[in-house]
Amino acid sequence: MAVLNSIQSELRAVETQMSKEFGLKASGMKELIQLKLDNLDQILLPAICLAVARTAGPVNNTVIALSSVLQHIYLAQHIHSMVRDREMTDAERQYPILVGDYIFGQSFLKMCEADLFKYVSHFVTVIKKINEGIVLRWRLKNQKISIKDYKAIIEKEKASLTVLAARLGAEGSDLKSHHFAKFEKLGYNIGMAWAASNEPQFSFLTQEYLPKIMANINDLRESFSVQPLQELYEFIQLERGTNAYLASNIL
Amino acid sequence: MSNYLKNHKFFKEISSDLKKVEKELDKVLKVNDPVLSQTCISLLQAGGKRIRPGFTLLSGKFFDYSFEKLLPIAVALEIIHMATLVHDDVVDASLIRRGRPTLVAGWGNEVSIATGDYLLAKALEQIVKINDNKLSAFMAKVCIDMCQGEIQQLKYSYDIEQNLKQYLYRIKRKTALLISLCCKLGAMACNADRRGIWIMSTYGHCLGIAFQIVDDILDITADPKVLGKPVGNDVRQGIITLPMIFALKDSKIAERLKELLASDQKTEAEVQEAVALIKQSDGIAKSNEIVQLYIKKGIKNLCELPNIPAKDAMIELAEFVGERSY
Repeated sequence: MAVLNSIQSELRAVETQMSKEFGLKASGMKELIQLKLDNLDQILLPAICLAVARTAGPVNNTVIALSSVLQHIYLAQHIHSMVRDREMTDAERQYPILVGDYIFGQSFLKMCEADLFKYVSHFVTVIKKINEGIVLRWRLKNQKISIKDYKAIIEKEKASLTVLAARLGAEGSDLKSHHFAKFEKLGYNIGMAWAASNEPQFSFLTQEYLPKIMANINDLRESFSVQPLQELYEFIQLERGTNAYLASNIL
Repeated sequence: MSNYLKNHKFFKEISSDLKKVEKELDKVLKVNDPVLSQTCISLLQAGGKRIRPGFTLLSGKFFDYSFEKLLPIAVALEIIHMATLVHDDVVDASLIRRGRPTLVAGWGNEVSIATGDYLLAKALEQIVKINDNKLSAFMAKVCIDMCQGEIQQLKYSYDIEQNLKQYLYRIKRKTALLISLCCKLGAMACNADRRGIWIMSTYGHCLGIAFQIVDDILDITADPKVLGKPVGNDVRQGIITLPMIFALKDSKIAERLKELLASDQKTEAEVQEAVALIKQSDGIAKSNEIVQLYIKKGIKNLCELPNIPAKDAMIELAEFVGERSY
């Protein structure tokens, strides 16, 4: 199965939109900040949104625009998180703040221009949650973080975004609202696995969430064509190198 | 409400509605998270001039004034302003604002940035209430332009070759666009026609430019106790402002001033030396002349509008901007 084959053209469409909207007049973004993004950082959120939408049929322009906005918001937060409470050069501190704010502005403009206004409240909720997560992590800095607290942090910081990605994919495709919760659960487990896999101290938690992702996909199998979701799952495994445990057991 | 509002008659016309804006800000910025709650409260307690909501409400007075429509706009604009100030303090590593420690000083970069982002989400929440794509797109565009202005300011810091045109481009984005937007949206929300919207927008633009030039003058001339922050910040950070651009043309001091302003490793004594040189040049007087030109242009714009108390208030407000000492 080719990686994300079912949504390749849609991912390219999102990428094209993103690159058009990133052009900073004052200067190119790459010139201002040193942004390090792995493949998951670059496409996981749009991929969730698009894969969910694809389960119901062809992906419409609304979902492509929503995917682009979501990725903008993630990038803005990601860039802001480059500024830490430690000694930094002026440029290391200053540009990420302004570039992050610029991208926030772009995502907001996109919502207005692409007629996505009815989705704004979803984005508002997620931005608030992400920042509550960041502050919670800050409060627990220099302490031994319990698994419960860690889960509370990543639920807000990352899973809130992946839940929204799944929700937007479903809502933007006009799926019936009673299906939303199942897709949101899938998004939640993907977000928890993604976040945990980024932090060596808690990466073992990835193994807790990967089976749940497959269970969610299986749960959707009766009503939807889950091929795009299976490809999404494979993509996550491929990127995280954690496939040995599950690929044979569940797929 | 801040003392500022109590002490200035130009807000008399809208004082009861401004109090409601203040109350709404209190309500909107009440949050559950213990840290974000403290940071938001401290921002509210720091007061601020609330000049932006003031502009929005006053602008609406010339048309079909509807406080209900104006409230979310005024609140959103003030929250956007607060968010940008918080982020600016991280950018500038400012420890004092309005005579009080900044969030950065008390909480550090991470919490300050999170607070700013949280505030932006809160502003967005207000914008949803407005439920007007066109109006909201104007806000978004201004937010983007403000960032571009700030980025340009950083890129050209310590660049003593900057000219008046570049300076005006920068302060338009940094300050004038938001004030202009406050006036424009106040008019738009109250069903102003195109001419009315243009008049308000231009008035806001002129006052915004004047406001920033005055800010830049005060950074050289003010009493730090009155200003609520140390003077010479722009010199320290390499931000080339209008008084400096003019002072650099004074052949008696130009050579030494160039040396001082272009250096990114200045001692405090050198900062004060640069401040003294700028003061002794005609940079301040010439900058004040430019301020007065913009103030006059802003007031002149209002002449087409009906003679209602809001017009007097806007004229007084313009005059205040030109004369303020804090």
